[in-house]
Amino acid sequence: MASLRRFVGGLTRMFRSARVEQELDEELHSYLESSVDAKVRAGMTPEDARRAARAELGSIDAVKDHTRDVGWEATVEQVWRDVKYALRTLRKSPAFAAVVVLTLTLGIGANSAIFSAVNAIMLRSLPAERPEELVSVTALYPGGAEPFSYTAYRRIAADGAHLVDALAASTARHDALTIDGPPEAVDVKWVSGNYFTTLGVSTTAGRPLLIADDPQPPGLAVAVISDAFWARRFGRDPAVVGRSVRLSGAPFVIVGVARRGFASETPGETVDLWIPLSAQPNAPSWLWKGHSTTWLSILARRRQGVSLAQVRAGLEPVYQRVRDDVAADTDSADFRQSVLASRLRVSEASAGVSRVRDNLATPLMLLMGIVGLVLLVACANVANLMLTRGVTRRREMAMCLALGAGRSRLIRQGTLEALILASIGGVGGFLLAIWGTSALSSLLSGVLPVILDITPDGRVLAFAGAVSCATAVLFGFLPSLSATAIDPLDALKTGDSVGRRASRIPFGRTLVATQIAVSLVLLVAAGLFVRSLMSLKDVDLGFDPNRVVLFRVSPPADQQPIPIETRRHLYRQILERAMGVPGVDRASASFSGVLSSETWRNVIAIEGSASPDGRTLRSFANVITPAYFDVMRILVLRGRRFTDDDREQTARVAIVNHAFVRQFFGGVVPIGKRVGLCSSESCGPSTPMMDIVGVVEDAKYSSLRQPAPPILYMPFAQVGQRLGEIQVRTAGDVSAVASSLYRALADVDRRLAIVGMMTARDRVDASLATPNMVATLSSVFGLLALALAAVGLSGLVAYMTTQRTQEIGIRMALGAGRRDVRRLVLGNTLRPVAFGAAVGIPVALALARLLSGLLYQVEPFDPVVLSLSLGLLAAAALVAGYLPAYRAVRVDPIKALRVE
Amino acid sequence: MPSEANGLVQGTLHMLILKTLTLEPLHGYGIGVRLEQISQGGFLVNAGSLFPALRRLERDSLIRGEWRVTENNRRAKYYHLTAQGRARLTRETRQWEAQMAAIARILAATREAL
Repeated sequence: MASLRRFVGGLTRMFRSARVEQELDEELHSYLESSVDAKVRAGMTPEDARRAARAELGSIDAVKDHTRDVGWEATVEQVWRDVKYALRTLRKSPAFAAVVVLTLTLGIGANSAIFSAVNAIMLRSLPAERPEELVSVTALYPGGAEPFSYTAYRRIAADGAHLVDALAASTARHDALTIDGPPEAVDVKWVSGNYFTTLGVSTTAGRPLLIADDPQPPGLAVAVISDAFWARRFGRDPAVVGRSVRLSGAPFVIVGVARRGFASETPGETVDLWIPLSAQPNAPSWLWKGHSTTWLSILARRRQGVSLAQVRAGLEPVYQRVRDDVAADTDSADFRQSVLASRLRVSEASAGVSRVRDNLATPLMLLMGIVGLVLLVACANVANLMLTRGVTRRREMAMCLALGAGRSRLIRQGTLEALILASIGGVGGFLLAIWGTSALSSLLSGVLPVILDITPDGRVLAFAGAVSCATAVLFGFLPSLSATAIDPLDALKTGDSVGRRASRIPFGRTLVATQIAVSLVLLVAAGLFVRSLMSLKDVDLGFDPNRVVLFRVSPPADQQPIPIETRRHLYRQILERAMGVPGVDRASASFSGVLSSETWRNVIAIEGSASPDGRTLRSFANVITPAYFDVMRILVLRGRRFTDDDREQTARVAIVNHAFVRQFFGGVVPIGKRVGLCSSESCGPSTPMMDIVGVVEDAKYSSLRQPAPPILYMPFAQVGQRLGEIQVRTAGDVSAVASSLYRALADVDRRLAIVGMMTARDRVDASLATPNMVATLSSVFGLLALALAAVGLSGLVAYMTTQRTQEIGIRMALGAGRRDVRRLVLGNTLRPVAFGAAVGIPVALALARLLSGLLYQVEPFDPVVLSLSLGLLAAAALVAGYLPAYRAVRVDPIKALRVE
Repeated sequence: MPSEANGLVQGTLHMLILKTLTLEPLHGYGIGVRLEQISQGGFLVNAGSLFPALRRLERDSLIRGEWRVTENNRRAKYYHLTAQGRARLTRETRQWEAQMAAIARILAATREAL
């Protein structure tokens, strides 16, 4: 009650502050008059009485001040006054304010931009209902997380039904959708029937998928489309519900449109169409039985009152049964071992599950650390400026202290000033981040399978705010502690407004040295990433990616499963048609695409040589058409290429790469030797054998970082495999050919869809996207840190030089040359640099060791990187020291001495 | 900042001001004089302590100020006790007496009495 009254009283007084003030004036006046009256009555002369009364009352202002201090509103008023005062002081030194704000804008902007990406990829919660109830269920094998088979999912969903409502989803895949015209490439995701209901995602039109849509296969051929696809393809036409479309040739009915803002349960994925798992057209029966194909990730919603620990404990025995099943299902001893060693991981999944996140987590955290350091350098700069300013304002401070201002009041004032600067910097930083994220998006676009919305949101805003406050404390509060720790008497007695010794800014040099050390560390890190990227770019691919177009075709599904002869005929037709396009040189097709993750590894048998240690031999395998090595320009080292004469009826042949020769034949050319692909773990004698007819150069297979593995090439004409990718080498400009290819291939079959056309060069570059992003950003930030440190250094040296103007004047008067003066100033510059470098080098080397996992063919201790970084640092230091030195040599001794 | 008058704790000053106002409404200077008179010069309350105290008491609705004309034909703000102020004074006086008695007993204690 009393506090409420105080609050209301305070408010009234705040709003009527002018009247309250006037009343206090009047009251004090009447007090004084009464006092005078009393004294006159006691026999004093009016003049004496007045003087005595005055003396008794003391300072009227002090009384007013104390009276005003009563109540909470006084504090508010005081803070407001302080804000006004701070703004006024800052207006008086616009250059200072501008430098501080700019520095902070850069620092906070860099942090907010990177944080936006971290936020979007790692933190943002799923646009689902009560995302905190969601858990992700993964099988952790010794080699990493593996998806589940359909059987395993059904088992887990059924046996764990009392704990969780589990849903399954495949990754989004390109597929061909026929709406009215020719097939279009879309992203399709196969999901369990409870996908939408469990996530709590509603539909804008129509209905979501339901459990009834996804019974034992075959399921209902229905589809839900995404809001984005609805807008893009159908212009938000509500009549889309009920429309019939063909996916890979199979008919589907669109039953609903998912609500706006829902993209996928996997951050970073966009999906155009969701289809029930069991509605997959032409699915081979083994997809539904056993565990040979693992393709589903599981997300589950905890049931009411079930804790994460209970889910973990409850699903463990369920998974054990699945695991035993999988182990019994395989005939590979290695695989069995790794299955039995696998365990179930149930983790919080409010942000969804994401392979993108797993891939990007390390680089993003690294970048976050880098920008954090940049911000630290920026803060050090500002702190230095504040300290310098504190020194120049020493007399002002001393005067305030002498007049009775409390030290806490001055510190508050200093911190407030810092907060104002930091908030302007924070706003600037946030705006910079909005701009920066669009730049970041384009860097990330190569890394992410699709474009991810990383524009800053409320969380980023909060982050920028928190960072601003933290920086204000770092650069405002701490310096004002030191600035106010002065003895007013001492400070006022000294004649000049600033101290005589440069050491009056105690942390000044330490701060600059720290900045130098941090920027050196960042430069070294950036240098290592750039070197690593360069060696990745320089890597010998073993093939020539220039002027090659890659694409996939999706055969008309109503003919699936396609008889082998039809498929061969289809590909022959496609390749012939492609060759007919003007500008096309050669065309080929293969099972595994260039640098694609779709690989085929198989147990092999080599005639006449048992594996030395009794272990099964494995090699990657690829199926190609005869022109493949010509199109890809993979060098044939020995023997011959495949030709059109290698047919089903002729002797079975194979070509191996150099790595294969090294691994299995000890480097001896194996032409004429026979190898076979085994159909099971134990290679039976019935394994059909192939003659090795050629040896080709090693070419990078699925990753640029890994050396080429042993590969066994087989001709398409002799192996009944489907082909994944078509490669076309063009004589001229790639882009001109691409469009005519499209048209030419549409002629082969109207139902044929061309998917994912890109140049081989782009494919190579895409695999460099992450290292490219890391190298680019770390360089930008390293240089930014260096620039900030240089500004800090320049400021410090300029300040120290100003302090020593007199000394320089005397020296010059006594005959010191410009060179000596220059040496004096540069000495001042180089000392903190040398000190910073001395600290920075060992730290950089230690950190580089931590980064070695991210580097490709670069030693953490790289002399080139280290010397380049040091060179850059020295250059920056010289530039930073030049301006003050230039000013110093222009000191006029007479003027300098006259200052006092 | 110091809010004590001659070593008086703030609460005590509040109580004394309330007490002086039980007899009749007084203006600021009058309160100071009255306190000095009653204490026979024991308390000298300066304006720097008196006005913040008045401000606090008024804020807490224990006293209320009113502008009136003094006997010397000047305008002055006269403070009078509110009902709440009266109640507060009674309570505080009782507490004060209890404390004083306790302190007196402690001070009067002799070795023998323990």
